[in-house]
Amino acid sequence: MDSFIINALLAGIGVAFISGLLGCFVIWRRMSYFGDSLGHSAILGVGAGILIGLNQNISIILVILLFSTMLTYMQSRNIFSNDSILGILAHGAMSFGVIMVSISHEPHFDLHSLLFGDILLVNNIGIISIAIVAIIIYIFIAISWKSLILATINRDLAMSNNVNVMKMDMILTICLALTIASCIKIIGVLLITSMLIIPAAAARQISSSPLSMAISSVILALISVFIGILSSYHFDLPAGPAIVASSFVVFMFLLILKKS
Amino acid sequence: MKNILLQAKNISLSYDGKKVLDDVSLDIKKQDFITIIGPNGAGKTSLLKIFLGINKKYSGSIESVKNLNIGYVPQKIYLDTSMPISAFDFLKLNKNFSKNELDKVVSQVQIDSLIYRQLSSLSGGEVQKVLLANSLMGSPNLLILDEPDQNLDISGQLSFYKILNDVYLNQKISILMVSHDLHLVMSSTKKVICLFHHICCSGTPEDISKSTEFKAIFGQDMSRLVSVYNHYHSHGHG
Repeated sequence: MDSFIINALLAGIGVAFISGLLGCFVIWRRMSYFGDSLGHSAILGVGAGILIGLNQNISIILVILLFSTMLTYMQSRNIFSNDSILGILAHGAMSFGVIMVSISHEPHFDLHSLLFGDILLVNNIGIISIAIVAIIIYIFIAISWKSLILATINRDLAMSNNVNVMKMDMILTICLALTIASCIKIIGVLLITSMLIIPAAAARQISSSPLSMAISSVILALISVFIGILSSYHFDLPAGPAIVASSFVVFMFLLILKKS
Repeated sequence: MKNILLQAKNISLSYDGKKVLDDVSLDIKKQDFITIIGPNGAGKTSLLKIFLGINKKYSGSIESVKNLNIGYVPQKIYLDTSMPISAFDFLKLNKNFSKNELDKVVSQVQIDSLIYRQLSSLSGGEVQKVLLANSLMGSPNLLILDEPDQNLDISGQLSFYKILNDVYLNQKISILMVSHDLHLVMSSTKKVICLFHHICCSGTPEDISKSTEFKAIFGQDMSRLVSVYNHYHSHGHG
């Protein structure tokens, strides 16, 4: 096996661990549109990174944190609905991102791999940064697991249990920003939300507690990533769609299995 | 402060320039059973959230005894089916959870048979019992309930109030409750507070039903009391 496919598999394992866990919260809190918007706004991070010569991972995280701050501010103004705000911010950010990329005249820029992921892009630094992000997210979520679950079920009940729900929201937003920044190279901007939602939704069908759903979701994400990356390698398919298509097949399989 | 658990003085609260609570003062004593009634949007839930420490943006003062320990039954619980969770796992999230506490509240509220069932498979009344059990963990001396009867049918309401009344008598705790159902309020409560941004009237159920303020808000015909949702506030002050 070539070394790049081993790199891709290692990175894919990290992606599965991250997206499998965080995807559960995306589903429980109905944040899928939020995740989608963050993914789109990451294009601004890529554009800004190229234009000012900053590391793209860092510029993506900065843009997503800026995005979340603006979102919170616009929500507090109480004029527009959430989906309008997300649409405005995400598409605004995406447009500026594409403009920045095009005026930078970067010769090696590959829009296709940005949108759909490219396993050839994964290098050692990429693997290490995914591993670090995974560790950070698992520590964050493990420490506040009970509080996060309670705040998801009922904010008032959580507050009366001395849970700082604003802090919980912030932890999840930061984790989501880190997830998107670290998964974007493999999955691509367009399909990042599916990698969050589909394994978690598949896991829902075979779980009876929040923890078992999170564990199943990670396992199903791992299966999807392995099938996806290997078929991407053997049949020269774009990595993101191959991974997401695999997770879709897993989801449908469980759906039919549970029905019969 | 003798016998007083919590004393609220001159509580006011505004949202976007609109007065939600206007100079509300209220004492909760040991073994009080107080029900707050009033139309929708009257500030009932806001007042509870101030007592619970969830809402801190009020003016006025709240004093309480040092050992005040509040149990809380929220108005609605998010029962999205996307999260699989059993009643047992839900109760485990409580900060006061322990095996002993669990056994105690499970027998108090009589939920032995449904403790391992998924929350999403329970009826409205069963969910309310689980929430009541949750609020009783850690032996609170004050229970705050926000419309626990909202989504229950008649038999569900009756069995819920029977359990609540047993808890009240056996645990010797104080109860502060918001409710819409005046029939049940009148039969079970010791004291009623009628709230419409300010306290319009308060007293025993009998006093209240004779009060002109009460009649102005709820109408003279007791059978019409249930139509409290659509009530038009037309009385003189405020």
